[in-house]
Amino acid sequence: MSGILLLIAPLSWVLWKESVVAEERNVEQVARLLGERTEQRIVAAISVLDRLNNQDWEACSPAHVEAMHNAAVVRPYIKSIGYYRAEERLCGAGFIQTSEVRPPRADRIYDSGVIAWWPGEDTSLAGLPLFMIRYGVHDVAMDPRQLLDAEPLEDRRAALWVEGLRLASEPANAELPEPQTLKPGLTIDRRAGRIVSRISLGTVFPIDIVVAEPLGQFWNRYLPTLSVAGIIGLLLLILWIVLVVRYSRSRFSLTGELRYALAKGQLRAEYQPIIDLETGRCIGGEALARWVRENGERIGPDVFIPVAEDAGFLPEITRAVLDATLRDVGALLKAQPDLSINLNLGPQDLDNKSFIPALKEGLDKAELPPSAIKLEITERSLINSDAVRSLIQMLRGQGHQVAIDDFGTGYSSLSYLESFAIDILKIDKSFVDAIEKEAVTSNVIGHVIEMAKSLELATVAEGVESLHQVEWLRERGVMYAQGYYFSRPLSARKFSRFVKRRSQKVPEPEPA
Amino acid sequence: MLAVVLLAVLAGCQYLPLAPEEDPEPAPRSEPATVADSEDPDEEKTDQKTSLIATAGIRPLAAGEVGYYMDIQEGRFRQKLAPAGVSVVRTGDSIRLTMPGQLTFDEDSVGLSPAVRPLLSDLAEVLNEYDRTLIALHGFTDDSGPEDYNRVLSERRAKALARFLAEHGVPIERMVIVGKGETAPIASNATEEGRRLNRRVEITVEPVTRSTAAPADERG
Repeated sequence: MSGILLLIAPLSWVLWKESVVAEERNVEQVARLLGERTEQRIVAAISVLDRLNNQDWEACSPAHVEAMHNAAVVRPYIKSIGYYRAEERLCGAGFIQTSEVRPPRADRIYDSGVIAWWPGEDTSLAGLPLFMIRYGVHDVAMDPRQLLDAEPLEDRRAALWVEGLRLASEPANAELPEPQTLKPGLTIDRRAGRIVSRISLGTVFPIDIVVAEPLGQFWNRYLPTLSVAGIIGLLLLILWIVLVVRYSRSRFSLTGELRYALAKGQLRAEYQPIIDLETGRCIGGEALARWVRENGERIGPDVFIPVAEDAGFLPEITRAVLDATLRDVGALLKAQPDLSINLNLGPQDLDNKSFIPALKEGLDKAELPPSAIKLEITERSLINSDAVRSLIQMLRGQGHQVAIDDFGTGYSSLSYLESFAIDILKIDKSFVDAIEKEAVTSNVIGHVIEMAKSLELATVAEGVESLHQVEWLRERGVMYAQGYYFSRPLSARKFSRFVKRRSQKVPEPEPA
Repeated sequence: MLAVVLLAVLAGCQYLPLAPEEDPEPAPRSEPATVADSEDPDEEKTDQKTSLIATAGIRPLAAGEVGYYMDIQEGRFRQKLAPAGVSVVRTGDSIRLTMPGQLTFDEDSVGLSPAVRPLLSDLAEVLNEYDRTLIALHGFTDDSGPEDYNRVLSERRAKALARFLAEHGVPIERMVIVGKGETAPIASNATEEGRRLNRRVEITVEPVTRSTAAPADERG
């Protein structure tokens, strides 16, 4: 369940964020656009005044009046332009006549000399509050409502503030929050069911633009995105469930199938030859479990051994391998008494009371001596010391040899190892690999070999893959080796042939 | 109220209008009003000012007009004079223009430097455009040299400026001259930079309102 949430939660979060960010950009862009257009109009009005001031008119000449007229008509938001001597309007152009508008107090007087009166009662003419700017000997009166460009708004609402004073809105009298109550950027106002964006500009005057969009529109705009996201999330969820179910089912069925295979005797054994490095002869092999499913699929021991171990029937596998060994190579072992087969014992086998009687019974039935079967116990199993100690004792008491498998991967000290009466040390492949690479661990293998010698144990090197390794091991007195250099694990028939070939051969290979 | 502001600005000054009957037209040789460095009762000044306004024939501003008139005048000063280094400061309804000394006068001289003449013509132009005001010209020096000498020097400098403005059409009746000498430093005289700032001429422009023109009705 937590897995589902882990998948869905970040996905939803990311998509929600994406939608919000996209809308924020959208509304913010509109707000910024409106703000910039308002600024452009104000800047344009000021530059009109500047141009008029800088021309050498004959005051109120037809050319002068025409210039004022032209500047006003191309800018619909400019209602009037006037020419003054001090407070006296001498002439002008536009739709209204502002000589009577005398606000007692300017809202802004800039260092440049530009004077601004925000629209209000004092600037009203015929009920229309004017936004007035005077520069030099000219002034301009603007309709503040036309400073806000409604066109990019589409279906949103917006309002324009100059220095905290609301100048215009679209639609007129639109209910919108004051800019000072909003943080810059996007605000989601759930109570009013809308998203609001505030943009503040300050190139000419401090301008605030507030744009609002009902949340409904936000949903309409992003419903497709969010539903697609929801569907993708759902699909991922289903996929996840399917995977989980399939995994556990295959796991259950593998156990079941393995039981079935065991019952049907489908588990086979293969034999990896062990070579006497001194003589080159094959002195036996390690029996390895092989499982071929009914559909022909081969499943490696690395898969099914843990499954069997988990399900608690590893002893049955060991038993099956023992049975297969006696059946497959019983005759060979009988014919060549110096040959032996190594059988792996897992942790569960150590507690299995019925194993030793079964082993004895099998050998008796096949008329083989105990020396024909050697038992391999992993180094890691030695921790379970009491059970292992007694098992080793019993096995050796019956005449079997006992090998420590994968030696070097555990943590046995020499003295600890000494406390177990064992016969053979199998050196783990990882150390043999190190010989090739001349790595530091090759020092460790030297110690292992010395340790084995001092305990008078026979040594078998595992995973030998090159002539170089063979020579190195032989020089240091390692007796036996197994690995792909000699042979991969073989079927019973091929193993018999291999043994025959190798039993005649002289020491091999000769050092170059 | 306005009168109080005016008095504060002009504290310690006295209007001494040039006898108009002698020379009614602004002429190069005529002298604008000068102020002695003495203390006189307020009433006397107001009376002098009122008579000045009457003499100059200035149309007083109505109470509701003053703000607008001074706003647009301030904008005009800023547009015309601020780029040349004149500082424009608005206090209530009065506007103070400060002209740095080194911009206006040569060292130890009462002669206007030629470089400043275009700027001063612009000043005269705006003062003529906005003719419903009184103009107080205050001269200041640093503290080097004897005090008396400095007072006279500052007064003569203010006078030189007033004469220039008069030559450019500003009626002398609108102007009053105050030689402040070294008495009102705006920076420390200990440094050359401070002394440079202290050598200056300040021009204070005050609106003429109906109350200043006829003070009795408002001031009781």
